Amino acid sequence: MVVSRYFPRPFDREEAVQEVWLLIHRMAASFDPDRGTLSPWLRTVATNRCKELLRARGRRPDPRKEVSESDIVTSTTPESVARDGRVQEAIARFSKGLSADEAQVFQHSLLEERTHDEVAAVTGLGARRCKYLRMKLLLRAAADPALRQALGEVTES
Amino acid sequence: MSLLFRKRSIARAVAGELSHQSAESLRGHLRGCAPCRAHYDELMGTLVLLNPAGAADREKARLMRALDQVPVGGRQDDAATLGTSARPAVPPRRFWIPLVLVPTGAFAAWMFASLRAPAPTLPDDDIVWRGSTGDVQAQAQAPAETLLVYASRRASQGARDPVRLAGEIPASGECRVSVEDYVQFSAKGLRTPAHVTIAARDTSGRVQILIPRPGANAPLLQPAAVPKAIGPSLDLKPTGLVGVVRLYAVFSAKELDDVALQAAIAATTVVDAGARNSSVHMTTGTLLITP
Repeated sequence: MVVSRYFPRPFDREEAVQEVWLLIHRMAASFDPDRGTLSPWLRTVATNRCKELLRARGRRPDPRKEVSESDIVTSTTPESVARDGRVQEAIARFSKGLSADEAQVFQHSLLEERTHDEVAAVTGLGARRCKYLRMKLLLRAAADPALRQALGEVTES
Repeated sequence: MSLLFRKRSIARAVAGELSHQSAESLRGHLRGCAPCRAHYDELMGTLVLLNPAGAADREKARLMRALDQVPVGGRQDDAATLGTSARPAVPPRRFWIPLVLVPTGAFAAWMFASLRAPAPTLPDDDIVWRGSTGDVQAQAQAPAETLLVYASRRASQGARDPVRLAGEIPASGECRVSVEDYVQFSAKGLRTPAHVTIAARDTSGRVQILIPRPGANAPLLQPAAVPKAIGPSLDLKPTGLVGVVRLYAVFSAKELDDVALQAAIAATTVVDAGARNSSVHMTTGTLLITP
C-alpha cells in the first residue's frame, strides 16, 4: 500500500517492495515493541526507503503522496466499487470473445493462477497447449482496449 | 530496438516461466531500458488486473528467493549484490547489431525508393475529401460535456452567501460542498440538444436522482457557447447525502425513465463512458459533502 503510493508502475513497485523488505529484514532487531506497535514502524521504514529510492533516481517525492493512517485501512469507496465493476466487466467482455478452450484456460490459468498441470487436468488439454494458450491470452489481454483502459484507470487511482 | 529481441523473454518473465537467474538478468536490463520496462509494466499490470491476489504470491516468492541469498549479518549494500540496486545496470553492448542492421536498412530504403510508383499529380480541384470538410477534426477536438457545480452557503434568516464555483467535472474530478449549501448545476460543451439528469450514488450504493425533481421532466438543454443552468438550485440538506458521493450527469437525446437511467449508470463502463456515437453520454465525478 505504501509502496504503491510512491511507485504506481509494476516494475518500480516490485523493485521497491524488495528493497523495503530487505531493509526490514536487516533492521528487524532495531524494532522495540515498548516504543510502539509494529504497523507504524513498518510504515515509517517503507516510506523513508521509498523516498530514498526516489531521490536516488533524481526525483523529488511528491508531498501529496504522504501516507496517512486512513490510507492504510482499506475502505470501500464509491469510486473503488465503480472501478472494480468496470474492471470485472472488461474482463467478462474479453472472456466472451474467446473460444471454449481459451476461455477455460483464461479462467483457470490467468484468473485463478493455477499451475499448467492443474489447468491441463481440469480442461483436458495438454500441459504444453495450456502453457501456450496462457502466454497467448496474456498478450491478447494486454492488447485489449477495454482492459488497457481499465488498467490505466487502476494505475492512476 | 532491444525490445524487439526481448519481447519474448519479458512475456515469459511475466508468466513466471523464466529461471531465477534469467529473470534477474532480465531485471538488470529492465532497470536501464525504458521501452522494455514499459512493455513489462504493461504485461505485468494486465496480469495483476486479472488476478490481484496472485501478485502478492509472486512478490512473496521472489522475496523468499532474495532472502535466501542474503548473507548472515548482511550489510547495507547487500541489495546491490541481489540485483535490486536503484542504480540502473548498464546493458551489455552488442556491436554486431548496428553492423548488420544499418546496411540492411539502407538497402531496404533504396529498394523502397526505387520501386515506389510516382505520386499522382492531380490538380487540387479533382481531390475530393471524404465526409464533410473540417467537421470531423473540429468535432474530435471539441470539448466534451462538462458539469459545473456552483454552491452557496445558507446564511442566517434564509439569506445565502455569495455563489462560488465548487468544481468543474470531469476537469476538476471532485467538488467539495457542505450539507448547508445550496447547489446549482450547469452544463457546457453540449453538441446536440440533450435532456440532462443528475444523479448521485452514496457509499451504500443507493442512487438518488437530484435533477429533475420528483414529478418534473428532465430539463432539455440546447448547445450554447455559455454554460446553461440545469434546473433550479438544490438544497442538499433534505437529500440526506453526506460524505463521499459519486455524481453522474447523464446527457441523453431522449428523456430517460428511472430504469433506463439506472441502467445507464450501471453501464458506466470504460468503453461506453463518453462514447461519442452513443445517444447517452455521461460525465462523472466525486462530490465531497462535509457535514
